[in-house]
Amino acid sequence: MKNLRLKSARAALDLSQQQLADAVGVSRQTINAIEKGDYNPTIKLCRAICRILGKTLDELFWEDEEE
Amino acid sequence: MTVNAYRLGILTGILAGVILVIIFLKYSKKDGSLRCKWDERQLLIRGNGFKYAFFTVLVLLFLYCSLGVSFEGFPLDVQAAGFLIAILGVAVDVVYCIWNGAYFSLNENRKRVLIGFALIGGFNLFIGVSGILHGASITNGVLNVRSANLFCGALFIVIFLTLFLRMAVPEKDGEEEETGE
Repeated sequence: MKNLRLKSARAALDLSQQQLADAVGVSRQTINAIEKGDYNPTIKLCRAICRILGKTLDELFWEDEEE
Repeated sequence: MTVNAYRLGILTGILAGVILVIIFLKYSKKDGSLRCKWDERQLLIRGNGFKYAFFTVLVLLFLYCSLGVSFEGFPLDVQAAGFLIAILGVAVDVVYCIWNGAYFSLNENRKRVLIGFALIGGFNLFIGVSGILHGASITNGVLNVRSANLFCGALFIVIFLTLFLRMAVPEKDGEEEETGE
């Protein structure tokens, strides 16, 4: 399932995938794979992304039932 | 054990190879470190790549043993077949990793790696092709161990073709691939 919340949070800060990837220390393809829903990141990486984007884990990664 | 010129030559070649690899590893890194740094997804992909390479080598070894026993005049001698199987295993791993964005590590300078690969690939192709043309790679119609350079050169062609295709085929929902540093 695509992670549109991550994509929109990134876009809100005007960050490219590459800029976010550099900030959290991963490759651009990894950020792309997370946004596409092709890769489930570890809690460690989720926390690093949340820290950079100023969001909580729930806001970016928690899936509600109806989603 | 007697140390003859042939063995000394082989040892010197191996030593020179190791030194060149160390220099290349250092030259190709942005931070001057010898170690590659991967992120968690890349490590996962690389693990899958190794798995597919392992099974490729397993199947090819089985096929080679079967075909080598069954057919007279198999076009590869034992050493050449060993090199070819190893190179095919590496090719499977490399193609899979390139396609899934897990070939270059985070601290690698891609331009430098590609320059190095072009030099190594070109050098191997040159030696391989001249070996075929001068007949040094063929003994009684069978490819011998000297053909390893040709296989190695072919591997680098596969690497460049895969990199080119990966850049040419746009990623779904992806941003533009950055090729430089």
